[in-house]
Amino acid sequence: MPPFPQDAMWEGRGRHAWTADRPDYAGGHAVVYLGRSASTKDARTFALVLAHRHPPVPPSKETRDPPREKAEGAAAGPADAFFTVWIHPTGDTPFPPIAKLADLAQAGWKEIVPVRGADAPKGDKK
Amino acid sequence: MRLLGVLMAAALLVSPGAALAQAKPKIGVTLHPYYSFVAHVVGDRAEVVPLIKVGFNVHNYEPQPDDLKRVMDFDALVTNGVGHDAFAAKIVQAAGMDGKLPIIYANDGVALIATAGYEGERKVPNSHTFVSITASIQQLYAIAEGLGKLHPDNAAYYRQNARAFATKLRQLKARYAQRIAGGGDMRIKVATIHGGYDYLLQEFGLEVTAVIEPAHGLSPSASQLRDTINKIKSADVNVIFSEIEFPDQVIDTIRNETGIRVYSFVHISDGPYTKEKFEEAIEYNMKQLTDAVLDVRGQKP
Repeated sequence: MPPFPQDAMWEGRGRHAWTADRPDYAGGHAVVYLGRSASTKDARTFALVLAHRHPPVPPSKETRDPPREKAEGAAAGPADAFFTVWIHPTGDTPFPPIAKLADLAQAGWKEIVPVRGADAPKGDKK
Repeated sequence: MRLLGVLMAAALLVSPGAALAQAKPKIGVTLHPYYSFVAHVVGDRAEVVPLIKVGFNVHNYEPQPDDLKRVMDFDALVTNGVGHDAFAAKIVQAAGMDGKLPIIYANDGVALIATAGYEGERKVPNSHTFVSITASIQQLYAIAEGLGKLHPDNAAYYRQNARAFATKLRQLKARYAQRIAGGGDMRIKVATIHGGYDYLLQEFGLEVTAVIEPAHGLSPSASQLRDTINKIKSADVNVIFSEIEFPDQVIDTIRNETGIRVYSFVHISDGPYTKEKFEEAIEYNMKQLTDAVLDVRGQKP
């Protein structure tokens, strides 16, 4: 699956070397796929971040056997989306330790946010 | 006589319930691909009904009296909702069904790409998410989820059907991706005569350099065509993707003037509404696309 295979397209678009890392992420887990280009003047650095935070577990009888749906619903948390894509203008940037995803913005990363159908202007939706 | 009376009474008691049990919900759809998606999702548990008849240009469509009658009979309406079926809102409104008819916006969760090649104009999201595999699968699941909320008893069945069709589509795509994998350059410059193919081309790693025709149903004028030919020449594209419905003269002129190979896509918006339409059309498009790539590489099958 693009962008990982080292094919002609990969070569033409900056020869990104991808590494997977599990940085410290307060209260949860994160996996970061970091793509650094071999030609840093043409291509920037990408980070694909999968993060989830565990919900605080209330000390109640639910602790023993929490309902699955509730646990999943709370896991994404209000602040951090589960899957985000980030870009950094310089190629040799290390991925910083993060307590929350907003820390990435402080470190000069920019999140790539897609326009989804729900955001798109549409005359036919109220 | 008394027995007959009892039987009739029983029949009266039973038949309304029996009729309700047998009546399948009617799910309206706006465009051909959505007919296919919904037909796969609902299986035999709902009826899929096109909102408008075959043969109209959806981009300047005005509601017809029959459309209003039809929409009033729907239990839900599945739409593209990002600009390709604005006529649906007009029909729903004209029928007084605004706010009464549940509408499923299949693209709400789909990441949209900007319309390519529209120089000098504001970038707008490309509504042709249905000419693709990946975005179509996302829509398939969105439809299954939306209809599942309306029919909770069928939710698991809808999800299972969506998953089965998604698997089939992924396998189809893998087969065509395999044709062009592992050999040769994918940095192929592409021009299309319609902006409807960006999602499909992007999935296969191709980018659109120029779009020749800015909207449906508009043939370029002589001066537009001259500009386009000059643009293609200066953009140095390797392949032009036309549409099978597009006038041959225009394509021949471009081919003769530029000397560039031309392949054709289908827009999935013509002919009868069928369950198979989407996969047949998308397979045709993937074959054209991969043929073109192999041709540019000099590996023509």
